[in-house]
Amino acid sequence: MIVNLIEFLKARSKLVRHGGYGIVAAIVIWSLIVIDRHHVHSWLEKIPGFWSLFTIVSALVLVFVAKAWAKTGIETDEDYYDR
Amino acid sequence: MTGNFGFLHPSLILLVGAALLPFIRDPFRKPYLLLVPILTFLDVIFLNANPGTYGVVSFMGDWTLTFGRVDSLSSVFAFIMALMAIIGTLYGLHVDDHWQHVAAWFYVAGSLGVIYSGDYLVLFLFWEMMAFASTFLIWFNTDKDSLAAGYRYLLVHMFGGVLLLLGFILRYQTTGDFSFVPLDEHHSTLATWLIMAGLMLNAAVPPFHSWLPDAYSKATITGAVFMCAFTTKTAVYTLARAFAGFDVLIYLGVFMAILGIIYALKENDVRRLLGWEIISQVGYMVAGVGIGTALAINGTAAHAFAHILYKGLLFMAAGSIIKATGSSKFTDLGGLYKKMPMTMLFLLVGAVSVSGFPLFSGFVSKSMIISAGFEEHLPLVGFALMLVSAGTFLVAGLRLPNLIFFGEFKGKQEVYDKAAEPPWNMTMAMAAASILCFAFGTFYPMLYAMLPNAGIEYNPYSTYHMAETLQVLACTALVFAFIKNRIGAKANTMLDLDWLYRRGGRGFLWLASKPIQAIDTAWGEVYRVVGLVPLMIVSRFWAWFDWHGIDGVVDGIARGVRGLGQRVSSGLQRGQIQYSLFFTITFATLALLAFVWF
Repeated sequence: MIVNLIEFLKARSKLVRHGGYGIVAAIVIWSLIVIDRHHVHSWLEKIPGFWSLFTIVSALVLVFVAKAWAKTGIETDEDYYDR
Repeated sequence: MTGNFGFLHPSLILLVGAALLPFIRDPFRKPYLLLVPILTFLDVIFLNANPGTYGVVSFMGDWTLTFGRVDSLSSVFAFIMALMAIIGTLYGLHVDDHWQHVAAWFYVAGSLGVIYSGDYLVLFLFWEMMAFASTFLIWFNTDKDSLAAGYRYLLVHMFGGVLLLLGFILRYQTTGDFSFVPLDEHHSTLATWLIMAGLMLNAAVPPFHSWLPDAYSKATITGAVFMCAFTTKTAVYTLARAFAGFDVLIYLGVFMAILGIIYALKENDVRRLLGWEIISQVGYMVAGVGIGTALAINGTAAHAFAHILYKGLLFMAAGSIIKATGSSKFTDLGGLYKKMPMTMLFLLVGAVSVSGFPLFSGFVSKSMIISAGFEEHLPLVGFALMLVSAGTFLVAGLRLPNLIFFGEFKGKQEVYDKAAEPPWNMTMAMAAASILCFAFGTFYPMLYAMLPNAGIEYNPYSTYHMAETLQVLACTALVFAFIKNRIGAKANTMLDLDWLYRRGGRGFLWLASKPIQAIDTAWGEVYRVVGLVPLMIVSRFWAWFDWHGIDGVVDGIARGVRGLGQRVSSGLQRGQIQYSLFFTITFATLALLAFVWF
């Protein structure tokens, strides 16, 4: 059943992708409308869609930092300690 | 536990159960394996319903040992540990080797003993029991690296144990008190920091964190399920007990939460990735302890509770995959959804729980700590932990399942053909953990009712928190859709502080064999030319004196000493370093105790 569902979705990957974008857009728009921004903890959170922007920047920063840190020579072959 | 009922320590059930296990034969063995942890769990529930102080015994005259301090903080931790012991044993039910179960039960007994202990002596006893028992969970694995990894794990934990021992002995010298109670940040001494360092090592707080991914990726499949639950969360309990409100823990916690994600983003080993994820999640708890308010401590306990269930579930799913394919490398996996759909479903439940999806357990626990941070006017802490939330979903919710179950299978075709779902007991254990992850996330008042500080109002399903969480999840998924190939599988590893003792030792060897040896040789040459001729003359005299004067006296003594030495060494030195370590540590402990005594 699970396998069939995945095969079904894989056969329509473009639709799934656009559906995904639709869900993301719906969540962001919904949160713009419903949130009461008067009682938030900091002024930053009063920016409309703050947590969306924050997340996109966060995720990219984490990946960038991980890659930069790896490039300093920290990343090495898996058999490093066996040699 | 009053009146006619005696106090029965739950650890005792496990220890006696473990001692009897090798004598139990089929068909009673499997029911017995389940019965012992279930009885332990029932005992814990019974104790928790009757809070108080039990098992107080007087020891060597003026010390009192407290084995059973049952209060609101120890209750919630003991409950989840005992529950996880049932799930873990069910997961390992197919394992025929008695000793693996014995080691696991000793390990759980150590954890429960630490949680219910009321003083440092009892704490230390069970603390070391945990370290020793869990080492065997690594040694039972037949991988070639496991023996070395077990030694590294044991030595690191012995080091932590010695720090803890030094700390509480020093504290005893100044205060004359062994009781395990909250310490005062404003009157901290060396003893305070030594105790903290000893406890921090078990919680994998940097710089004492490298042992965790190293050891957990080398343990047996079932051993890792136990290990991921008990060591770090028991340590979180001890930190919450003694160090609530210590500011330094806030910053260390936030740092380790971020560090774990950064390493997990690059990791190629399933269980190393999950290990780094533990460090990241325990970071939330350590930060919660550091914030130290009633809400933060509740959040820490709730998150430890939720974490044990979903991380156990993730390690169980990872174990199923290793059992099916023989590999734990992303570079050998992929596309397994067709072969192991149920395992995928369970792993996804664990993944959405750790990522904090609404309706699942991580959602109702993690946010308490973040809210406590904002409420204590620590906005940077709150934002940093939100950043880690996005990272957690990226790593455990998206990268992990994507690399295991989707894309092309990257290993050998015959491995793929043979891959199958795990045995029934492993599936049952994963199903149980999945249901609990969902139950505690949806019916969260069940969990909140157990938390240590009563009367704290918190509603995770507020509109603002829902909108915040859904935005974080949706936008992380969006980013992942665009960059997933940049964080794919590569047959690499990331160096960490364990380099210092894994390669630093070799550096010392090189230093000894090359430069120091060269100096030694050169010095020997100088010595031979300059010193040898006069020395020969002097030594001829001494040789005469030695021969005629001293030998007669010494020979008698020497024979006596040699005889004694042989008797001692044949008993103590069996050529296996495990035994030597055991004896050394035992003697060191006795010597220290004698020092305090006199």
